Amino acid sequence: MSSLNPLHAGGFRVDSLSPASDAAAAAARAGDADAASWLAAGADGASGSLHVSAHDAGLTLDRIEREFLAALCADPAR
Amino acid sequence: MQFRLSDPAPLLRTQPDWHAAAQWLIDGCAHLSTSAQRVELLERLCNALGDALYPALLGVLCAVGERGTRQAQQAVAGALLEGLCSGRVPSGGRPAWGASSLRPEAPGTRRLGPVEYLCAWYAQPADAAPPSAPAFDRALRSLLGLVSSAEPARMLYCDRLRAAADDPLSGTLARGTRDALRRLAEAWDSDGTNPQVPVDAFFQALHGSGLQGLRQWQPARLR
Repeated sequence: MSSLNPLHAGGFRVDSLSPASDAAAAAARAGDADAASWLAAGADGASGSLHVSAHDAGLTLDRIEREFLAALCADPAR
Repeated sequence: MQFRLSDPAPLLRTQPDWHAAAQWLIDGCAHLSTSAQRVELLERLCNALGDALYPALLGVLCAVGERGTRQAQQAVAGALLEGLCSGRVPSGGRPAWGASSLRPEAPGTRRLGPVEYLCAWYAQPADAAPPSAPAFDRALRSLLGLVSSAEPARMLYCDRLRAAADDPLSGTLARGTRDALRRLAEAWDSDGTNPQVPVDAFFQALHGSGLQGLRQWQPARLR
């Protein structure tokens, strides 16, 4: 399990922050700056070409969702 | 595992595995057996990530647009086409023009598909810091290239962009953004072979110059 993004380490999400907190607002701004970097990170982080894999009979909607979220998110089951 | 509204928002890894995420998306779009399942997959991923992480889904789509083989791109573009046909395009929330909050429950929030979300994010930044001009240029080319791999998807998406450009009442897009989207749609509709053409049309409408002109006159925006 990889570590959490420090910008999210408090367990909150950027869009639910209260504007009353300066610290929270600062964290939100930093997180927003991160979001822009994700656009290129996707392509830069993919190594080599992306192909269609051979068909897997065990492929289900639930499994794909679970694996996709596990690849991006720290704890998709929460 | 299906996302429920009561689930806490997911947290992005410090080092997401973008390649694996893109591979699962491609394989899901290629191998799920029905259109309904493929559309549901895109919706589930959107819902599970939430609005705060919607740009991460854009990053995955950009990865497929840049790194995907033709077959892989067509699988994902085909699922997007199915979403377009059923009115269920994977969408992220953007605050209405002039609003200052990205809270999904805020009354001024509207949902936009990948291309128009990216354009609105760049052209009318709200809370979220927008991508730089080169980052936007690259990402938009990737998305347009991905959608263009399935000709019907490109044509339907052009219609969608024109509809967004012609809708001043939703309040989501400023007039300048809508004008630029219209120019993008016109250029993209005319030629789907070179994504740089519609991207330049968008830049030209928004800034009065293409990316090269921005490099010359607005270096601060290019960082």
